[in-house]
Amino acid sequence: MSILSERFLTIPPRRRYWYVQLMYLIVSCTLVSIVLWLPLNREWLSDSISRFYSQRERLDQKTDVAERRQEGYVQAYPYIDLIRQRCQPNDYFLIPPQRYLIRNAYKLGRSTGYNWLYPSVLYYHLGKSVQLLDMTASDSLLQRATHTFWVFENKIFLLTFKEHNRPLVMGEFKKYDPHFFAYTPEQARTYYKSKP
Amino acid sequence: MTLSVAYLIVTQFLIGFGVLARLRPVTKGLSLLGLSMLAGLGISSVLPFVLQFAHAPIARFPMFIGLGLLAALSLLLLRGQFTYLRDVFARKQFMVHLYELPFLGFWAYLLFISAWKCAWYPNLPFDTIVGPDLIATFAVRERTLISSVFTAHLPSVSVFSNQPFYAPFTAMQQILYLLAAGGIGTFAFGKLWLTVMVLAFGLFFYADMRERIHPLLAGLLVTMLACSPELFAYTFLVQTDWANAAFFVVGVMLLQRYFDDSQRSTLLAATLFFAFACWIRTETILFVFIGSALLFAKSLRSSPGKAVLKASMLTVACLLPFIFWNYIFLRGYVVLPASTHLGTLQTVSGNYFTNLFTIYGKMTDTVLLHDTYWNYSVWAFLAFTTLNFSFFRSKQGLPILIWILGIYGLFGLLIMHIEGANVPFTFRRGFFKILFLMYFYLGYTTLFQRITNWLFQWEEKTLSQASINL
Repeated sequence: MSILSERFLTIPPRRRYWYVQLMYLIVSCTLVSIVLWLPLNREWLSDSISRFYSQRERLDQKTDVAERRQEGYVQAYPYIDLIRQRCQPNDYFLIPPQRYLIRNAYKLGRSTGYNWLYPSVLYYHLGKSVQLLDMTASDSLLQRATHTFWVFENKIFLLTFKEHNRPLVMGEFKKYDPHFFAYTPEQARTYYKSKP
Repeated sequence: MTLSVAYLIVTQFLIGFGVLARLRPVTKGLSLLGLSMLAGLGISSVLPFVLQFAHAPIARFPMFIGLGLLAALSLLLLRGQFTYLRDVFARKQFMVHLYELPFLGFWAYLLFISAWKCAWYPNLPFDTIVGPDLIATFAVRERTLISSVFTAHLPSVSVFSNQPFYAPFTAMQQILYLLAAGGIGTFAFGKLWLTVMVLAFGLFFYADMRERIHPLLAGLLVTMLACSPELFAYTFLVQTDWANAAFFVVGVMLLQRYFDDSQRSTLLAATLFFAFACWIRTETILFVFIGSALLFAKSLRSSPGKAVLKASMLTVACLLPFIFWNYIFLRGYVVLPASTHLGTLQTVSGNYFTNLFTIYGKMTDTVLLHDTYWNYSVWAFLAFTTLNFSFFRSKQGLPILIWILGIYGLFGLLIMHIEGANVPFTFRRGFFKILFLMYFYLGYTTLFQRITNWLFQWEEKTLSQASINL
């Protein structure tokens, strides 16, 4: 082996140790470079990982907890904030059937499948700031509902129940299966594209 | 980092350190450090239950007193362990070679952004915010584990996930870290434990590998493994699967050590980690049976009686957290909503084996060989394993292959029989266990052992030639 040439053998052991280390270093650098050069790894690093670093550059200045929540729950917060602003702890918010929103305002929620509508997600965000009711509650309990979401011209509004609109809203909501839930956007899309 | 968060991490480490120093399952300082942190995370997750049963509030002060007491008790176990600790923490044990720096640099690059994402964002995965973090947030807010989630919310809604009933470890870590952060600062969302756990497991995994094969090869293997996008994603998304895989794989690694060194304390440490894995994900108990069977088979030749005893001990120890959570706490202490169906078995219609093989086919096509999830890590495993078997037909590391195939086989049965278990979610994330084991196996193969021997011989020869010449 050339490394064991006469000249190399005259080098003091300590320096020689470092020569070995240096050779290994060249090998390890080469190995890391090869692994990172492989197409899928390269794509992952230049796409996902560098996107995460750009995200950090953009967001790291925001240290406020509320701002960070807002950024994280960007899909749910417009609706959560609306309920928070308009409802009191003794109000009853009726969770509309998810199918109702998918059928009538699919475009608004197609990226989430309206996951924010899931009862435990609403409870996670809202806690006791409002009483949640779902469509499987008894009729007498449903009568207590004070607010819900209603779709009008492809937009979602917070509706306050009045004597005149209650039968219309309840009648419309009861057309949809309350037990159905699309956990993924794909499931929501499948339902949306199925016949009404 | 706030003082309270630092206190929590230090006490968790000390809790694990005392126990592990007494059990002595490892001989290297880096392995002991990683393992101690993991054990501390596991043991401290029991503390909220102790407070709950003692009618103490789930609040910062009682929790910190409890952590302090546990750490002090654990440190008492250090008595008489001085010689062991001196050897384990000898300076030589911590030496990092120059050539390891490129690997360490790359992992640091990945870990840094993972840690930032983990800390900066609130909990985002659906399963987490309707499961462990829902329980943790309300337990902290209402100062009790029996919060309004169990008493008011879940009984009043018809659609709810089984995530709140899944397993307690993740929720308990969230509780501890939410209390420590107090809702403010960088770590306000209580997710720091995930980064701590990933670091601790990574440290142990790498230290264990470089103990058996040349650090150059260990670095290469861990780098291949690190380039698995799906595995990486869950280093900053709080779920049960990464933690479950980490604790389970540590159990397998320690059990393998026990097969090599036959030290009873190593078996005890392995049992402890298997029990924690069951504490993290309930269905893990099914996979532990593979370990019990291997333990039985290994010990059978020396003593059939002891073989039964050891296998039973492992199974019973892992059943304890399973029974405590599912039957004592959930069905005894907490009243489950009437519509809860936990672990319901589903009937199989049509030909049993056709269905089963369809599931295995789907597992292979959509998860195992899915490049987007694992990049080259699975292909590298398959390539190196084929090379190993082509050149050396040795049985080296055979128990690890049995683990891999056994887990794969059981996952198919689980998906077929348990309602809610599926390939795209349950198996995809359950695959983390298999992936870690694949790389643990590679470190055991004759192929890597031979290359290691060749490298060390070359080093020795090169350096000794110098001495002779001098």
